[in-house]
Order: sequence, then structure tokens, then C-alpha cells
Amino acid sequence: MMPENEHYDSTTQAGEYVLGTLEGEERAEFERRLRDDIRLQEEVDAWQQRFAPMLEGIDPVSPPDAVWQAVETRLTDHGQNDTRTATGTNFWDSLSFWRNLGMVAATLVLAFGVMLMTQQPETGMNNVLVVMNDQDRTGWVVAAKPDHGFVNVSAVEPSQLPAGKACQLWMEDQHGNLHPVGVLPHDGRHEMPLPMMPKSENVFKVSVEEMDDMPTEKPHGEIVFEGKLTEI
Amino acid sequence: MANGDIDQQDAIKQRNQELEALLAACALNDRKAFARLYRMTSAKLYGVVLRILVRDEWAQDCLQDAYIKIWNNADSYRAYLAAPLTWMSTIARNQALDLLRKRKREVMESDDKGLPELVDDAPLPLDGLTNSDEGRRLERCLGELKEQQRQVVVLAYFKGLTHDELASHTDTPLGTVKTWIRRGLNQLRRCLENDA
Repeated sequence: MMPENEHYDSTTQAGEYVLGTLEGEERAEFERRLRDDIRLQEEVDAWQQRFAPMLEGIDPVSPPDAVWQAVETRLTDHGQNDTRTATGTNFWDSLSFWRNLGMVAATLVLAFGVMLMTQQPETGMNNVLVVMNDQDRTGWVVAAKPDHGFVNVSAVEPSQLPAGKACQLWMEDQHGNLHPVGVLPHDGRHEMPLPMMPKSENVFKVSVEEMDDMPTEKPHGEIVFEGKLTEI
Repeated sequence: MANGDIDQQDAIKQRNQELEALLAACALNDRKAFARLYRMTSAKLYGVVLRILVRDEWAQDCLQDAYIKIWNNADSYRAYLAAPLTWMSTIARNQALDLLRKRKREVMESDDKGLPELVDDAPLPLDGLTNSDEGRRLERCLGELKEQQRQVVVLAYFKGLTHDELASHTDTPLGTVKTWIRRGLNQLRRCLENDA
């Protein structure tokens, strides 16, 4: 058996990282590796879970009301996108592993589940299209209902696009011609009028366009996604 | 199992289901769901960051950041990987340790002589570990570590102390502290894996 003090591998290092004892250059170097190394992310994940019960024993303490007011103000004033960048300064925030392990299927289930839970009762939007983002995860959810001239488009995790670019949603008619629906939003839920009544056979496409020159006839940019509505 | 235990298990299960649903709604920018999520969890998370940061003012800033992060990342929560409160508490802890590291850097860059009050002597909250199966396992496995190993592991987890700081806090050579941590981690992992 290997002597214990020689057993220093990436599993142990991941443990030190989660514990918080890795510092300075060692820490930075570990985070660089963590960025691309899924196996290492899994090691970190496992350590987070092993230690998580330590937090169970901590007694709750009510925070002052001012904290919630500040949170609300930040979300309202800066909008979600600003806070997203503002809080993204540290690479490791315990979240990437949940993100990376999340399979597309799980994301789909989540999106459908949320649609069922949050939209169907009030709006009857029982047809959805999950638009994947550039990371193959749920970027937007488009909700429609038959013989209804509008869709609800919800941003879930929109693709990060270069400045000046936007994703445009298109609807294809039975002759294969594309008609613009609107720009996929960066956050929130938006209602958009459709160029025609949606049918299950309609194909929707997404193109990447210049924001100051959005096409109205046909896409100028690359088509990055296509799919049909699914009844839920 | 006593009836009271079953009731408690049910209550926890119900609460987790609600928290999961709220996180899913947050992923679709439902601010009302977020407000409810905050009401249900903020005292727990404030307890966590206060334990690590000690100072009220820092803990409150940190709690804000933690909730912004939870809001922005609600869509990456995966119920099959962790219970909602575990996930949120871990985010809060990481946020607190990040803040602590940042403040320490600032102090090092100024002429100030450190942050002595950050390492308080409050008992480390291991008693509450027995609330869950995972907690009981972890408690048993921590109990199998040598006293010094357990001490540095727990201190590091709650205080984010680096190897150097642990060495000076426990008045032990740096190499020894590193060995304690590595052995402690290896032994803990083996124990938890055998027990699972």
C-alpha cells in the first residue's frame, strides 16, 4: 500500500480546493485546469457534496430587511445581464459543475416542467419549442398554442453573443419561406406576434444577425438552430 | 421510527419540493418566486455567511451577492445532484470565502496588521450534523480522524484559512499542516466511500 503522505493526486488537491486551503498561484493554476477538465470538475463536485452537511448544523439568523431591499434594487436597477457580468468575476462559484454535468435532457425536462407549472394554467400555452444556446443548453423557451397568433418567448440561458449581434427567430411557412418573428430577448418573458397561425408542422429557425441591420425578408446571418413545436 | 421523525421527514421533503419549484420558476425570471425563495432560506444562508465572516456588515453584503448569484444561476440547479438548500448554502459559503480572500488581499496590500478577529473561538457547529444520513456519516468519519487533522479540516472549511494561516494559527510547521490536511482528506474520503 502506498504511504499516505505520497498519496497526493488531483482528488486530494480538489479536496484542498474545496476546503479553501489552496492559495495564490496554486489556486489560480488549479482553476485554470478546472475550466476544461470535466473529471476534475467532478472531483470538486464530489468534495462539495461530501462537506455540504457541515453547513446543516449552522443555526439560522434572520438578516435585516435592508438586505432583501438591496437585492431587489440590484435586480431592478441593473437588470439581470449587468449583475450576471458583475458577479462573474470569480471563475469558481460552485456552480460550474452543476452546469457542466447538466445534460441536455435534464435541461429539457426542467424547461418543460417549468412551462407546465408556470404557464399552462394561466395562458394555455401548451406547445413549446426549446431553443438551445451555443453551449447546447436551453437558451430560450418559445411557448405557443394552436390558432393563437402570439408566442411567449422566455430567456433561460441566452447565448453570449459578440457586441452588436442578436439572435433572430424566424417562422417557416408551408412553401419553405421564412418570416421574421422577433429578436430573442436577453432576459425576461416577451410576447411576440406571429406572421401566421402556428401549426405543429411549422419549422422555427434562429439566425445570428447584426443588431443595427435586422433583415425583414430573409436571414442574412448563419442559421444556428431549427426545430418544431412540441405539444406538452 | 417514531411518528415525529416521519412527520419531520415529510416536512423536509415537502419543503425541498417547494424550493425546487421556486428555483425552476426563478430560472424563468419569476421575481415573486424569488421573493418567496428568499423568505424561506435567507435566515439559513445568513447564518452560514455570518459564521464564516463574523462581521455583520460583510455578511450582509455577502448575502446580497449570494442571492444575486442564485437568481442568475437558478437554471443550472440540478435536483438530482443536491438538495436545494445544500446547493444554496454551498453558494453562500463560496461567496463568503471569496469575500474573505479579497479582504485579506486588501489588508496585505495596505500596512494593516491582519484581521485577527476573523478567527473567533466560537465552537464549530458540528452538533447539527446528525440531522441527515449524510450528516451522520460525515460526523462518524470526521470522528475517526486524528484530533489535529479534524481540527485543521474543520477550521479550513469554516474559516477559509490557507495552509500558512493554519500553520500560524495552530503553531505548527507548514509541512506538518499540509500533511495533516492531505491525510485527513484521504482518510475522510475513504471512510465516506466505504460507508456509502
